[in-house]
Amino acid sequence: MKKFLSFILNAIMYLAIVGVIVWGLPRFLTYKLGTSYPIAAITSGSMWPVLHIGDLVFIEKAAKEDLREGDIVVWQNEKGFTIHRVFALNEKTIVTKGDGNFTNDDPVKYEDIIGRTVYRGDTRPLRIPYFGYISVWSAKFL
Amino acid sequence: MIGRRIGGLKISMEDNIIQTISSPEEPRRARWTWGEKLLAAFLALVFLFVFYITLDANKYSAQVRVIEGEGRVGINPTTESLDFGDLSPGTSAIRRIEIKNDTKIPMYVMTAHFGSINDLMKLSKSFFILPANSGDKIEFTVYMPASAPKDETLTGRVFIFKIPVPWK
Repeated sequence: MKKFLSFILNAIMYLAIVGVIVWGLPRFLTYKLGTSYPIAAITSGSMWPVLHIGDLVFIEKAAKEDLREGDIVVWQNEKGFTIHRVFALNEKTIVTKGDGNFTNDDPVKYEDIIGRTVYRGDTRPLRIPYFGYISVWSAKFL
Repeated sequence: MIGRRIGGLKISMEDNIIQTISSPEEPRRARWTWGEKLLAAFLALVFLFVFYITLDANKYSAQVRVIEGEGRVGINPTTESLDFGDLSPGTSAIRRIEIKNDTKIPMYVMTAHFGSINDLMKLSKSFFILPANSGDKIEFTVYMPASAPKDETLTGRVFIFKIPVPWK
């Protein structure tokens, strides 16, 4: 009986830990990074070699005056979300370009910008390799 | 009896030996239950199956060299490996691999690719079923993006696994 109770208690503990991670982590990141979309999975190679397909990156809110040329920003469009580098900052729009692309994207309005990537040091974005594949595969097969 | 006296305590080496041998905690060899035997046989079969699939897999090395300029392609005559030759940013090269299934069992074909070339390489199909006594081609395309590091050679490995699926 004692063994059974111990097993049940362990199972509850593990479930609680998983629940806190799955439910709590995104909420904590939303609160900490100030955006509703704090995590993004990379699904194309347009930012190669800085970002690879399957990477998971963190997005923080950035005001218009905080954005700089060279920042990697995420914005929402009719296709979903795009993550590219800031090429030029205009008064009302931003010009972006994927590192691997030859042409600039259409200008993006400041209000469509979700945020910019969290950096590790000065130049490289903080990324978790392969973790984004969960999102890539689920989008492909589900 | 081999022994010596230290102070008032007599230490006997012989006694120690006897005590060790006559320990009641002597480990006994446990008999395998039917369940354990079945599990062991199943695991051995799984291991042999995976071992055979891995051994039978087609393995290729892939490489491409980034050259300066625009629209320049260096043709490489090697056909043994997935050599995409020399490509400048904005260009692409295609290589094809022919797979044959000469057996009477349909095969599930699964591809895996690794290495620095991985992100630049696109496959026409990665997972598919190859019917018995048939063949198919997989097309590998490498597109060189604008951000490709000049004069660098990107390499990788491609594995094509064939898993028998007699129920298909």
